[in-house]
Formats: sequence, C-alpha cells, structure tokens
Amino acid sequence: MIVLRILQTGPLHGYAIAQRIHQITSDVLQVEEGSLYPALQRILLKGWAKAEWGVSETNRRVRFYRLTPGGRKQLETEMADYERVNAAIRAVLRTA
Amino acid sequence: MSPGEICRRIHFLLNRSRLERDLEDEMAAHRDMKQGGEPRFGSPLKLREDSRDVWGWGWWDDLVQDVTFGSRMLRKSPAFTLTAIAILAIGVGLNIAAFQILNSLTLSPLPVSDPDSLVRFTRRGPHGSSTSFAYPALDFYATHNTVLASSMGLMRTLVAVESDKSRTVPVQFVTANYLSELGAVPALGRLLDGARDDAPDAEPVVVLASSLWQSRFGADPNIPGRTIRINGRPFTVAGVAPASFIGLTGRSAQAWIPITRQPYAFPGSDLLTNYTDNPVAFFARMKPGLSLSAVEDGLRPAASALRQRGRDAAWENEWLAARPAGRFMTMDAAGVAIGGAFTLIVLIAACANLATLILARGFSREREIAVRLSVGATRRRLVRQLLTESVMLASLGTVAALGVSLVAVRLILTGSTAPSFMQPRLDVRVTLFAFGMTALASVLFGLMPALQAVKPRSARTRTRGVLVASQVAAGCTLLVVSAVLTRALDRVTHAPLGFEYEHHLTLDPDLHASGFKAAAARTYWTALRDRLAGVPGVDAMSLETIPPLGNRVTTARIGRGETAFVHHVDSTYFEVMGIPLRRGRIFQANETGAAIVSESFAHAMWPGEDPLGKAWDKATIVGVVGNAATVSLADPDVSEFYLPMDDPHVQRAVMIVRVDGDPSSMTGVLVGAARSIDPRVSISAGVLRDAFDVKLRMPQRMKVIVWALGALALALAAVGLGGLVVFTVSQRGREIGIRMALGARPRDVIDGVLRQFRKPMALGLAGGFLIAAGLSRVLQKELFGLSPFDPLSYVSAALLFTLVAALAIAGPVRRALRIDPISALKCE
Repeated sequence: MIVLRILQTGPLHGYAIAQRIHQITSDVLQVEEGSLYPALQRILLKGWAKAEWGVSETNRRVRFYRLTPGGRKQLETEMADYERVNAAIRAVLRTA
Repeated sequence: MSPGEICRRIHFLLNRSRLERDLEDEMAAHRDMKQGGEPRFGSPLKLREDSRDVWGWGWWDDLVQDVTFGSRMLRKSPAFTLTAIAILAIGVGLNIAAFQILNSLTLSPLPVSDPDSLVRFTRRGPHGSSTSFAYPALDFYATHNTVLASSMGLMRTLVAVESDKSRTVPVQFVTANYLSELGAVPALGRLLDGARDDAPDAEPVVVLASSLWQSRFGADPNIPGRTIRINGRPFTVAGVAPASFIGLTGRSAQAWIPITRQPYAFPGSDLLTNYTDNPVAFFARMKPGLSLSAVEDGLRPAASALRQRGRDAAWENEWLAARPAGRFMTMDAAGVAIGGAFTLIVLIAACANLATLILARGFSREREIAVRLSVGATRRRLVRQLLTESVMLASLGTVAALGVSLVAVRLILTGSTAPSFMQPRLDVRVTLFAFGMTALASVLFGLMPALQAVKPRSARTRTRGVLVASQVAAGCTLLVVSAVLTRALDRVTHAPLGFEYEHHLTLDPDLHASGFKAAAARTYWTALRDRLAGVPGVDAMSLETIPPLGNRVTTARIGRGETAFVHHVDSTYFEVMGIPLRRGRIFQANETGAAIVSESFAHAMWPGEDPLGKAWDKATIVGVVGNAATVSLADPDVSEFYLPMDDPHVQRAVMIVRVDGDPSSMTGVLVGAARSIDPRVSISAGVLRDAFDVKLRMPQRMKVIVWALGALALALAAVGLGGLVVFTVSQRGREIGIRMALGARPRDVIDGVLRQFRKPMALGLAGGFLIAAGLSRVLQKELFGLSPFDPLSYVSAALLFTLVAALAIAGPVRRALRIDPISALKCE
C-alpha cells in the first residue's frame, strides 16, 4: 500500500521509492531492499504498475515504476480498508 | 487469478533471462546510489532470487534443476541405472503383458454391433442346468417375451460340402437374423433374411464364410446364385460373409444356413419340433436400459407357460440365466485373481529389489545428503530431489517395460491357440495401465528410500527389514506355487488314473445331427460293431455318452459343491476302459433301472454305508467301481454315475475302441470302415492319448510360467539380499575389523552381521507360505487332487530358497571375515 501510495505522486525508481519512504516517515519506516524488490515484482505481476527504463536526475539508467489505472483502484480499496480498520482500532483505544 | 495475471505470469516465464538482467541492473544502480550512512545493500543474488520467486515459477526452476541433476547422477553410474531399468522392465513389463492379454480377452468387446446388449441364456432348474436349448423352446421364448429386442439361435454341425465326402466342414445352422443382427455386411451377394429364407416354399440358401469361398470356390465373384450341394442336397449361395466376421461363440464356422433348413440338410431330423433334445445355443439382444436380472425376471412367465405345454418342454421351476455375450470371455474372477496376484508379486519383488538398490546407494550418497542438509536444504526439497530421480528411472523403465510386454504378449499368443482378432496393441487402456504401474512402482521403490535417506540412521534398519521380508515373501510364494503345480503334474502323469487311455480311440458319427432315431441308431451301432470286429487290431468296443477326456458332459448336482457326471454306457464299458469292479456286478444286457456308481460317489452320498441296493434318481445301485474321472482328471469334487445305455441317449453316444497297436495309425482304417456302413454319416475320430496331452497342456504351460516367474523372483531376492549384506559389511567394516583384532570368533562376527536379517527373513518366509497357500487353494481345480497344502512342496521350496539366500550371502560374509583390521581403521 505504501509503495502504491508513493507511486501515486509520479513514476519513481527503486532507490527513490526507498528514499521517499524514508524521508516522509522521518526515519520511522525503513524499507529494506529485501522486501522492496519482491513487493515491486508482485505489483508488476498483479498489473498495478508498469516498469520502464529511463534516466535518473543523476543521469543513471534506472527503472521507473508507473502506476496503472488498476493500481490506482487497488490503492483506493486498500486505503479505504486501512481507514476502516484504523478507525475501529482508534475507537477501541478511546473507549476501553 | 485473473486472466491478465496469468498472461503476465507466462510473460515472466518466457522472458526470464531478460527480466532477470533488468532486475540485476536495477539493483546495481540502487546499490551505487546508496550513500555512506545508509545500511548496506544485502546479497544481490539472494535478493534477486527472492524477487524472482514472486513470479511463481520457483517449482519449475526446482524441477529443471532436479531433472538436470538427476540425469547427471544416473549417467554417472551407468551400471546402477541399467540394472534398475532392467529390473523395472521385467517387473512392470510382465504386468503390462498380463494386462494386455486380459484387456483383449475380457475388456475388449467382440467385433459385432452393440456388443454390450448381447446376452447368452442358460437353462437353470433345481436339478441341473444346460447351456443349450431345444429349438421349439427357443422359438417359444423368442415370441413370448417383452424384454428381448431380438433372439438368435445357433447350432454347430459338420456337413459335407459338394461331393467331397472325405472331409467335412463345420457350419452353423442359425436363426436367419444372426448375421445381420451382429452387424455383418455381406462381402458378396446378401446375408440371410428371415422373411425370405424361412418361408416353407423358399429355396434353401447358404451364406459362405470368406475362407470357404476362397479355399473351395476359388474366390469366384459370381458365386451368389450358384447352386452347391450340402450333404448332397442343393442349396443356393446367397452371399459371402466378410472375413472379419467371427460371430459370438469364438468357434469357426465355414457357412451359415437358416436353422429352419436343418431337416432339409439332415432328412429325418425333428430338430424343429423336438423338445427333448437341447442342441441350440440361445443368444439375444436385450431391450435398451434393461439389466441382466430384469431380463431374467422378464422370461420367468414364459418359462412357466412353456412348462404348461408338457413335461418335456421345460423343467419344473425352470428359469433362464442370462450372462453377457458381447465379450470373447467374460471375466473369470479366479483366473484374473491368480494372474494378477502372480504378476503383482513379481512387481513387488522387483520394486523391493530396486528399493534395496537405491537404499544402498543412499548410504553411499549419505555424505552428499548430509552436506546439502547442513548448507540449508530442507528435507522436503531433498525428498523431492530423490523422488524426481526415481520417477525418471521409472519412466525409462516403463519405456523398456512396454517393449518387454509386447515381446511377451507375442510369445504367449503364438504359444497358444488365440483367436485371430486378438492382437497385441497399445490402446489407451494399456497405456494408462502402464503409466499407473510406473506411478505405483516409483512410489513403491522411490519414496521409501527417499524418506529414509533424510532420516537419522537409527530408523533405517526397519525399512531394510521390510524390504528383505517382502522380497523373501515374493520369491517364496512363487516357488511354493510352482512346486505345488509340479507335484500335481507329476501326480497325474505318474499316479494311476483309474482308467486306461493309451490304446483307445473314439469314433463319433454324431448320429443325432444326422437325424437318426433310437431304433436306427441301434441298428447303426450293431452294424458298426460287426464291421469293426472284422478289422485286425481292434480289441474291444463300447458305447459311452460322455467321451473320455473330452468336453461334452452331462452333470448332476449331488451335494454341496459336488457334481457327478452321468454316463450312459454299455455293459462292456468298464472292461474296455480298464475300470475295476469293487463291489456288486456290472450291467446285464438290456437292463433298465440299474445304476453303477464310483467309490467317490458312494462315499459322498452314503458315507460309511453299503451303497448296494440304494436308490438314486429312480435307479437301484447294483455295483460300485473304482474312481475313474475320465473328464475332469482327479478333481476331488467330482464323481461318476453310470446308467445303462437307453433310447434317448443312444443317438448321442460315441464308440470307444480299444486297439492292440498304436491307436494313431488305426484312425484312417477305422474311419474308413465306419463310413462304409452309411455314407451319409460324417465320422470324427479322436485318439485318447492325444486328448490326454491336450488336457495336460494348460497346467504344464502354467507350470512353466510360474517356474519362470519363481526363478526370476528368486534371482531378484538373491541379488537383493546379497547386495544388502555387502552394504552392511562395508558400513560396519571398521567395527568388524576391531572385533577381529580383539579376538572375536568368526562365528560371532557373522552372527552380528546377519542378526538384523534373521527376523525379516523368517517373517518373509511365513508370509510367502500364507500367500502361496491362498493361491494354491484357488488353483485347486488344476491340482488333480493334490492338497493345496502339500507339505513336501512347501518344505522343498523353503529349502531351495534358504540355500540360494545362503549362497548369495556367503560371498560378502567371507569377504567381511578377511577384513584387515589396520586397513579398515585407516580407511577414510
């Protein structure tokens, strides 16, 4: 979900995705390569993103992942699910 | 999984190498971009593998890897591979061969239209049964039922064709619908047609078999419409049946004639009106959707209606039993069980042997397996690897086995009188069976060692025990059964039979088929007797209704599972056949109401009592003779009952002639003399000595097969046991060396090596005996009165087996005793 959300802002390559997660969560979430790349492969397999080769801002040849319409829909579902569960947990925490 | 995802999955598989390079490049870039403070990039190889696993083709990679590795392992030890394939080829091949024969005999339908709706009827009553019918009864059943779509009757007879009187040919008198109902298409002209050919004023017609048309009529294409002579009477050839037509009985016929024309071919015959004779086989096609029992029930009212017509027309409480007729042979449960058991035993022996081989190899691969386990291979993965090797071996073995089976089937078929439509062929069923056997075999011989290999050492002894036990049991079973069969055959060839056959011939003029009445038949027999008495070399003669060593029988049920053959004989019969009189007297001339029984009959009916003067079936017992099972040699459940020759039976009798010299050389003279009495009659002659050899052929052939299987199983067991001992010794070489060095006696060392085999061997022998006893019990009918538990067979089989096993073990044990302690310790 997190990877999908990051990709929503625009196509990114693997290193940039890791960096972005790192920055946004202020070092709380560390996405290791060991889970990032299998996750990316799964996203490709499910058809939620497409990969294409491009040149990065530092002029390196890198692979950009671009969200597909299917991926956007998947993100929305997952976000909605997450919100629902989150709200439920918060409700429990507040009252109990 | 959505279709899009499946497409992408396949896309990943097809473009693997490119996509993998992409991953590699991508990760390299990622690693380069990392800065000093960040954690280090993990192992790129491991990362790539993890990512690749997401594509879902890991199993495929593993499989390719296993197969590559497996074939490398098999190539690396060609001796092992070839031995394994040979063992499989024999074990599985025999099973496939047996199945192929079963397949073509019982599972494949006859080449006729809609074979599954065909049935054959048998008359059943409280006092007996008959496989054939009187023609008017058949006609009655055919017209008085609602369950049969059509009825067919047929009767096989010998007739003279054209003017050639010396050779007669078998023809079938059939109901006119027979050929067309079975879907035969005329090769020439037309087939029989009931509406046309059964009319009383229609011209008599005949349909020729393709073989007769070619051999006698030079395949004349203008034969339809030509007039030929059958038994001297003119018949018009309607057409020629196709060569592929084999009918329902499996017996050959050279021509088909409407059964309504039988009296025309045999003047004086009352076949069409006589209820007391039962010469016609009754086949029918069931109406669609009916079961056999529904058809049987549907015919019960007709049977009781027929009974109303007279005592002769049907027995009291008679009913008709229906059995499927669309297969060449309906499943004989006992035969199938025995054949299946034998071949299965060979398969088990082969698999156990192979498992031993693989297990032994497992020991030598122990180090490899230990290394792989320690670097992190899972047990599942290892078992899979070892199983893959087994399956590869099994597939190679199956291909070889198919070859072996084709050769075996061809050998068996040429060695027996199989009908020509039985050809070895690989149809879907056989192929499926072969693959099933492969699957079974690879599980049997592959899974066990594979599981063992990854188990700790201590748990393995038991598996080895099971393998030893099953090999011993398999070898022992086959040996015992072959020993029992051999002893049974010995018994029949050497023990007294109770009657003589060496100098005897039978002359069968088939008077009944020629339409002889009782009085005419008596005249004929008297004339024949007089004529033969003048032939030099003829010693004695007698009439008998059940030809000795033949297949034509009349039986009566006398008790639980016991049957008696009912013979109608002359007073000279016992003297001619050399059957001794034990008590009472022989028949007097023209006596009625008297009966003679065999000792076994008297024993079965009146155990411990004097049978003389007792009554059975309206006859008084006047004499007791020795047991002479002239039809079913020494079958313990059958006994003999003799009645004087009387009127309804005299037309059906055959003449038994005892001669002085070689009976085979007399055949021609006797037949010639007989033919000179009445040229209308066609005579067939048989030499009893030849018939006896034919009777023995089946058990003899079986004995050869079982011996071959037994020797095979014995050899397999010997190799397997020897191999196991070799491996035990090599495994424990160091221990044996130390023991010897410390002064252990050789006997103790041997004992130590062999101790683990003692229990499984004993269990295997016991199991083998049990299975063999069961099989021999089923075989009892073929044993000529030998007990299936004949102790001599069992003991000798056990001794032979132990001897071979001891020989197989001796070599490696001797080598073990010669182990040099120092070199054993230094090794490794």
